[in-house]
Amino acid sequence: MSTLKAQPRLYSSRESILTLKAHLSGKQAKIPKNPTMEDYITYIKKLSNRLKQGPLDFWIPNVFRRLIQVIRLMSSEDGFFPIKDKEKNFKELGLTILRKSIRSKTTVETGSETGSNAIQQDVILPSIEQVLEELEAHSDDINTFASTHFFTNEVLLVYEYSTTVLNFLLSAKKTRNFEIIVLESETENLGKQFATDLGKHNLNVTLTPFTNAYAIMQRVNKTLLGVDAILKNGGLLMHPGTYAICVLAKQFAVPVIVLSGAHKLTPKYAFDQTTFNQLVSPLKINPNSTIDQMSIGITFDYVPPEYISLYITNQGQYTPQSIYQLFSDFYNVKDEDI
Amino acid sequence: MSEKPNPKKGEPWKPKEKFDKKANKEKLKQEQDQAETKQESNKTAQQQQQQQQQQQQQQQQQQSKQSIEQQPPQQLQPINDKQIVQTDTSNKRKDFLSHLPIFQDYNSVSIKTVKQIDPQTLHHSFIELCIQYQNGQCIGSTHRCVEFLNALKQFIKDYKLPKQSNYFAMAFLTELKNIFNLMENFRTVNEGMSTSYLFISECLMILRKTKLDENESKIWLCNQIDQFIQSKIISASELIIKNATQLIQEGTTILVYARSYLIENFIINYFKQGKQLTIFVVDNPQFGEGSQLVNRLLQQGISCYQILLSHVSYILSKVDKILVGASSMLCNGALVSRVGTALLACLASTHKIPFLVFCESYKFSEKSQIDSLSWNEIAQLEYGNENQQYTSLSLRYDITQSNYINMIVTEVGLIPATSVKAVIGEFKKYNYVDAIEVPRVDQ
Repeated sequence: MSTLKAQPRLYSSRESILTLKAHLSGKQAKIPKNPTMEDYITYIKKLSNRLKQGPLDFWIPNVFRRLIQVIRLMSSEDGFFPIKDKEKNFKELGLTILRKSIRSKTTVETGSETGSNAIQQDVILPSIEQVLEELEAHSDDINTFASTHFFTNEVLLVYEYSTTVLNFLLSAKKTRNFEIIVLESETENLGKQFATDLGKHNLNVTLTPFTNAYAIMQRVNKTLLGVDAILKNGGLLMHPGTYAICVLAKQFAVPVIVLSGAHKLTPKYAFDQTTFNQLVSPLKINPNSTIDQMSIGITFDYVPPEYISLYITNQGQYTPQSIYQLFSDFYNVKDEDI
Repeated sequence: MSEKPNPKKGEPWKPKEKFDKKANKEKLKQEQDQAETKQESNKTAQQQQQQQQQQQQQQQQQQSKQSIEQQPPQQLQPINDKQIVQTDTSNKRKDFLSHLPIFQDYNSVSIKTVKQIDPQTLHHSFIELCIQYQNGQCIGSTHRCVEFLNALKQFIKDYKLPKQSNYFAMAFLTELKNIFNLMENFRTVNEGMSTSYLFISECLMILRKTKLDENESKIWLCNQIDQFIQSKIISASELIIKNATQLIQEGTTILVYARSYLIENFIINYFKQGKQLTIFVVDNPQFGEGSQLVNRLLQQGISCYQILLSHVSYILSKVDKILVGASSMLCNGALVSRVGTALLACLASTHKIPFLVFCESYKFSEKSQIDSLSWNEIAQLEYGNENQQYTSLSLRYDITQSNYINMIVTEVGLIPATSVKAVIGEFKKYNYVDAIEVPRVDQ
């Protein structure tokens, strides 16, 4: 349960998919009789609008976009999949087998009036299952790349709590020895939590406050970051303070590696710090704020793609310049307006 | 300004210390003898320390909880009459910062034992001062230096010449050296404090030649200290504020980091002239200096925005200038300041925002330093658990490179970061504070 608390994005994505499943199975969905694929898709879009928690909630629309894409793939007549990775290949194989079974079922039961149920059961529910599987297994797929990026006795910098990074480091620990420096942000105490969780597994961990970042960066070999949202131009949205770390890393020529599941891919564009941002209550920053002494706090930091070296996702490794390809596979262009 | 001044006229020419071969040979022999004796004593001490460490490790392994209770009474070793502070080697870091000094925390129990020591070894005003340094009540380079000089004046008044020596000057010089060595145990000595130390030793050299008696020389020395404070700190700050007011036009947005005596006075002065500024104060929650500055400005009726260092990226596009105070300026143009300043300077250079440093000239130093980790001070402001599986690290100072600094505002004028060495050279000619007045001797 503690990992779910520290992964609010994953948690909300999972929960929204499960609500959809409940709606469909409980027959509470307002779907016209004899629905087609398009009806289902519009219903899912409406549901995502309802479940969205504000204009800066990217994760619920992301997961519904993925669901719609999977549904489209499953129900399409074309059976051609380009070969990319071994892991992806096996998944596609599984999809083709599923689709063949769907086609066989539908060809047999064309006469009956169970058309809507057939579509629902044979296309929507399996695609929901697949999306849930992708969400839960994203960490394992990322960890396959764990040992390829470090050398022995390296010093790594991490910032605030990220379960993806935690799992990554634990699987990398099996092959290499390294040292970790955890930067702690001033507002939340997640940095201390991260350091204790890492220290439990006998890793060499040092905890520093954020202000020491410049002094510490001289010693660091690589930076590992979790992320809140990956944008289509290759930039990312993350906990405030990440922009400063990435600027420092560029000054010291320290590579920045970003780890995330593919459910954080957001097909939007940002160009400065204010495009996707929200001011936070001043009392969170300083409990003694008054009107004369206003405290300013923000939700996100936007990091432009020039500061990032590599994205490692569960769909593969990408540079910021090439991650748009992943968007075209993962989502459909028609659904970007959710 | 930590090197010795040039020899004065009238004295026979002596070769500089580096090139005096005869004296150097003798010195080398003496040092070797001392080193040998020290090595022997160190070996025995190391063996003792190793045994102690092994004992402590064994205890930790066997009984983790009970050893926590046992360790504090073990660390308070019995204090000798001459030893004021105890060096605790078991607290030393074992990682890449093991070269940095760790200062003993003084809680109420150990303070009582320290005060019971013979007051001749360390005057009570210095003890109070050092404890204030440790607690965090006395933070900031100017504040620390002024408090130190006030404590020194108190000490001078209470000082009684021992019957053996006739000259006040020589005896007092050795006392001063002792004081400095002892104060190093509490917190590292400031650059400003070491400049004042050099100034006072200069004055004592002058006193040595005159034949003043004890009381008159004490009064003269106190007057010299007052003159130092007046000219180097108070009137310097007025000049700096005047220079800076020309730079900053009305209505600009400025960003300030942590709390600096100069910048606080500058802002208050600026608003008293009737001009307006938009002020963002970047807070340092570890030391709490930013919120102190905000409170003080509020008392004067100046409103400002408060922001954290990690959230600074949001407002950097709206800021016109960044103002920062200094602990010292180094010879290679680097700035020693509160930790976090270098991060701010790096961000400022990417966003092309002018970065101004306010620094009086007495804080200029002959040292050079390139990175923040080769010399620093570790701040132990929070008590960590014994059981925690991570080591926590927090530094006090930060080195900002000269290419990030646009301008230094001093009482001498507006200088670039690379001119620090030239300014030090100019001041050396004048004994740091114009010419020191020789006291009148009526004979």
